[in-house]
Amino acid sequence: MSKQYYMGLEGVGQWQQAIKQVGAQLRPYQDFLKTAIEAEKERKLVLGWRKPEKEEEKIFEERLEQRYQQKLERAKNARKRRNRKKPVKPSGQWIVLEPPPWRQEEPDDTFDAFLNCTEVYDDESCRKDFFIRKVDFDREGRAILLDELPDGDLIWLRPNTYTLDRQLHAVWDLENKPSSRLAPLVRLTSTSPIWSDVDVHEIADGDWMFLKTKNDSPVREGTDEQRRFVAIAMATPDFALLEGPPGSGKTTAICELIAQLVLQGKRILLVASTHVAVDNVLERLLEHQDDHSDESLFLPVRIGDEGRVTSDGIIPWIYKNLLHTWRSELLDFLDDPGDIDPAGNEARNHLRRTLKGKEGAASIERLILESANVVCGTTIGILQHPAIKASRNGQSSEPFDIMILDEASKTTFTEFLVPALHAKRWVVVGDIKQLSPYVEESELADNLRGLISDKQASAAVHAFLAAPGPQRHPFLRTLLATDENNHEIAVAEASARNAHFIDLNSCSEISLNGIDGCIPELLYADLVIGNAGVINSFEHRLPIDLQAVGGELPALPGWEAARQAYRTSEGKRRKRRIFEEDEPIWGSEMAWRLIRSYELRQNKDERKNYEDQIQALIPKALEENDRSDKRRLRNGESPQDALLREIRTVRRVALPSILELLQTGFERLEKQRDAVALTDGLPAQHLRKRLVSLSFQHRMHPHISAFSRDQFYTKVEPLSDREAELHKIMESSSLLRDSKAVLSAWEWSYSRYAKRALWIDVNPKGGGKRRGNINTSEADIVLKELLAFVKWAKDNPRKDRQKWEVAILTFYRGQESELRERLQEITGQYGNSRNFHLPKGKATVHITLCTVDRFQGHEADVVFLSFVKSGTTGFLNSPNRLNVALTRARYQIVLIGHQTYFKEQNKSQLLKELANSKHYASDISWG
Amino acid sequence: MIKLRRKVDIQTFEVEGTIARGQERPEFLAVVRLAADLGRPINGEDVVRELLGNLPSQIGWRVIERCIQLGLLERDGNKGSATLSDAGRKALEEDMILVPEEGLWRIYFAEDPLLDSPVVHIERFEGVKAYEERNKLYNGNGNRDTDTRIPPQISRALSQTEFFTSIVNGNLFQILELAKSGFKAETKEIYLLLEWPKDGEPSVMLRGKLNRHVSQKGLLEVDHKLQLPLNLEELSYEDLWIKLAAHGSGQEESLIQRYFDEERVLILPTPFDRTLGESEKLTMKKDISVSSISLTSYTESRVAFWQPAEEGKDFNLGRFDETILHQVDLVPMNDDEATKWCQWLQMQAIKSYQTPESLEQTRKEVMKRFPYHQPNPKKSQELLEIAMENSKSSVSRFLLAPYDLGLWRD
Repeated sequence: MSKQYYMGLEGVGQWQQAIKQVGAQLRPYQDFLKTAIEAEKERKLVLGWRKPEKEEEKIFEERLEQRYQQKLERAKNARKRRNRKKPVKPSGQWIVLEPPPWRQEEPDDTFDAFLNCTEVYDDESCRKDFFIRKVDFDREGRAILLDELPDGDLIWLRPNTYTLDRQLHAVWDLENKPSSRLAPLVRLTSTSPIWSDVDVHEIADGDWMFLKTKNDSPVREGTDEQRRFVAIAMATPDFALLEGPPGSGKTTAICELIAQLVLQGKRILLVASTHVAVDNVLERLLEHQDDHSDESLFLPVRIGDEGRVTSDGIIPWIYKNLLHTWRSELLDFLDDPGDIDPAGNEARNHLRRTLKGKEGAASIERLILESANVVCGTTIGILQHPAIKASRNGQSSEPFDIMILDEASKTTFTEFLVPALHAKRWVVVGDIKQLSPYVEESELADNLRGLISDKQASAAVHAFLAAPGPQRHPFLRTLLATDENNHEIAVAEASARNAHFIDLNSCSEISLNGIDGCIPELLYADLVIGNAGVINSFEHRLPIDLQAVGGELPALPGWEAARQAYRTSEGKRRKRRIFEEDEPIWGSEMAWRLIRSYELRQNKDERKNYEDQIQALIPKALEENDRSDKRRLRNGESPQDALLREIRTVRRVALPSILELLQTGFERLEKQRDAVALTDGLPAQHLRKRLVSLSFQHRMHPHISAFSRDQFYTKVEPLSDREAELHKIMESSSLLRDSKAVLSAWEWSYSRYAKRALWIDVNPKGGGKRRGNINTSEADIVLKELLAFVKWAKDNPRKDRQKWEVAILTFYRGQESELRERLQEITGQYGNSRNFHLPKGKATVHITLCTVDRFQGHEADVVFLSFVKSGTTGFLNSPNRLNVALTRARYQIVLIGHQTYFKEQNKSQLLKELANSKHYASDISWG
Repeated sequence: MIKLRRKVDIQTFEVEGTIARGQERPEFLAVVRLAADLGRPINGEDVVRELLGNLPSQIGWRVIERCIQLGLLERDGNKGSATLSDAGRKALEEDMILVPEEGLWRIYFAEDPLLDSPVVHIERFEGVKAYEERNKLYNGNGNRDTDTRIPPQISRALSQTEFFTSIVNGNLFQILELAKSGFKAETKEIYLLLEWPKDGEPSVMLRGKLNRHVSQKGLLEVDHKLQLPLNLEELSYEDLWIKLAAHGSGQEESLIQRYFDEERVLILPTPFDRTLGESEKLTMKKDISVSSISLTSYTESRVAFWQPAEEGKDFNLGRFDETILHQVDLVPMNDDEATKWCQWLQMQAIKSYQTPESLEQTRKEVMKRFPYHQPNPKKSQELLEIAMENSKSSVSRFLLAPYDLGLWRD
């Protein structure tokens, strides 16, 4: 029984208590994931598509041909006849993937899902008769090759809940099968945990491999911190944490840790949220191995698709490639071993029989996976690991000695849990000041939707949007159709919020200026409430700019006809957009505000606005039994308090990263009596023994790091006891200190800018167009600056003779599309979406176009950052996002945005400080 | 045949841990085979050159490392090279490799001197859901299920090298790691049987049925032949028989032993008295009931029927239930007793009309039944005199009638 598992757990108190506490802490995660899975089943991914331009298609075909020729070459050179089979050249119809027309900000994950799929559907039903086989894809061009062209403008994918299923299963496994090695994970939920001391593993000076000394002194500042982390991570009985600001040497520290562990014969699972983070480590390990061929320490296996791997050197180590090539290579050898010791004949025959038998594939799979000492993949990709797949069927596999999670700030607790259950100890690496986990808004919304009844939700959201306040949209006017069940609630909610509303059921006509039968409120009310019959009787008096909502709306042909006429008239574009917006849903309105308030958790002043709105969205007329499963009220708690508590629980489950949970905790609920590490972070005295902060940065020129250091990494007055404790743990007064080497390392002769960090003020009204999230004025400047740099770079190669790396970053996908089109135009590389090379012919500059969110973990010599927004701050005020955006450049960062607006606006103090910062003050060199 | 039997309490302990069980892993067995056939320490380069040619060199080193982790090879101490281990040899014999599995285990264990190891079987089981446990706790049930530290018998079995054989299916297993506490479940009795045919080899069997975890259906059938303990091999059938016969009859063991030493026979000296039934006197055989006996060493014994397996450790077969030695050959205690028995047998043989010749024939035959004594049987004339003195006895007429008819001649 489960009790036997709990009886064997150490450091979690009495088993009876532990099993109850695990249940209490993990249940919200399970509930969340179950609802999210149901939401995901309904959420069919959809994209638009277009036929490629001739130029684009030519490039796709060229690249396809290149890949085909490589396969052909491999087949020709194969030693065995079975591998000489000529590959079939794929053919079909290319289509370029586009965001759906109504959502330009479609996440990259959606595109990835289409690129990685095996079939698409040209009907939302995803029935078999709408099936189209995907033959090949071009990742760079964001295009797929299909058997035939789809009908219509959209293509769909069948819902895939595998990732969420794995997370749910992992939570279930931790609750029901917590083996003794998983005690530290259970301890995170315990109110009486006993954390062990951490010894430090001593490593002799001469034994460091990546953190070697030169002339008896560490290579660079911060090496001591990296070494201390390795020493702790080697010895920790449970967790070790490495906090590393951008460019602080996290990858080097991870490489050293892996090397030291491998020397001890340990098996390591390396996981990160991005491919580049995984591949950076792996590439460094392989380089080291190549340089020290006598050591042969690492036998890596990379789980993932070849198309996603970011380095060619890693391709041979991809699991699928190993499976295929090793079996062939081995059989070749065993068929003809040559002149070797005949004493080994029986062993060779034994292996040969095995590989040729039914179990051959399984044998080679085991040989690879059990022998490998570094298995790595992304948090999603690692789900394809055979052991993780097999755990679905209850099969156990031998756990890894240690799991290293890089970029842990982007990994939620449940994402972490999936691979974590396959390890004995955990090393969590990241920076809580960088981007947080991506959360699918619809999953959060569906979870929230279940917290109150539909009628309460509908009444609350329409009243909330109609009430005075910052959430009020100036053009939104709503017609809410009710019935006898929800009419009173709708009126009560509107009334409680002082919304400008009119209740058609009870309104009275008055005489105005001698005209009888007037209802003046009807002219200005933001919310018109009435039941179906009454609305029907008002059909010809209803204002035509109302957005009609509510399930009971009667047929109003006359009103619709008037609206249609209005919709097609000139000069009403803005209002027309209002009409076309989806009906507001309480769960969705609550969800995006929760996400925004979370993004602003380091920016408490600006967060308050969203927190207030969340509070305001709580139904005022909420009753204890407003839903089928009666809400449980704790002592003295009102139904509103209880709902807010439940909402916070959903937020706590859905949003924070594992790194944040362990390091700082996240929103311990007011009524939660006792602390547990999952909500309060590891106890300070134990965190101190497990956490190392890297305080020096080696990436950026000091001008570039200055603002982030001052703003995000320097100790400020602690806002809570916990923060005060954390400050004590951080030995240095600030992180992101510049190492001495960076100043000399990033010397160059580019004189266009007098400073390495500056802001070019671009007023969008100065001639350019600005629509949606596109700012053409900024795009003009980006291109201008880029071309100036390319011109200089032509005669000024990088010190290492590699191409200069330029990143064009923006916060919005709309702007990314605009920049993509322009880059395609100036480079002529129409088939590319992300990577471009200039000048034409002999390129000296490699340009990467990317959103800020996707660029975490990457760096570039020069960064051009386009802000897009003016007149509003959008989500630019997220400290984490801004921090990532500002810390990618080595030599130069150029901020391109409406600096004057940001200087003067009062919506975001953070952006105001950025715009006014002396670190980005413009200089006379630019022009 | 000697048949000894006793109950063995099989205790069960449910605990989370890692136990290695036999699995087919031909790819690693090939490496073990290579190590065995090359007959020398092997290293990663050997593995790549001899077995995994064409693969990257580090695979050879990693395969060696993995084989060491699985216990198949032992580090040789010479820069990563390794030699075949006992476990590796065993794996080649069994064509299986013990592969660690993590989970909940029900460990069956017992304490019995004839068991090599206290751990006799393991069963993996799946637990019921945690919420069911919680419900039990919230309902007030389940609180009494206390966790218990691992019993010493099991902790002693924790080892990286020791193998155990299941008494249920004969499979090998190895206990690698266990949580410190678990749940003490029920105890069930099965039987240990020691059977020893007179001219055959002894065998020790365990028989019975064991319960499985409540979540699993059916019972586990036990019919397992135990390996003979080393010190049992030093014991002879005769040694054990003498011990049992002495214990059952109350006769001095030295006396029985003396007969065996001198005459190489297993017989029981018995007083010719009322304790013997008529048929036992006639057949000179008796079933000897042996009460529960503990077969352990006693070093002061003149004739030790065991040989200590190790210096300072006494032989111990343990205590057995009462048993019966069937049809034990009896002999008189001495010549006088033999004479009484002999004369009694002479009288018992008179069942028809006798002449001196036939009585003489009977005398000779009766005398043959006392090969180890010199009894003094009655002569025919003495028998006739007895008959005359007790003329009413039913036997007397068989002698007096022929005598009266003149069939007795001088």
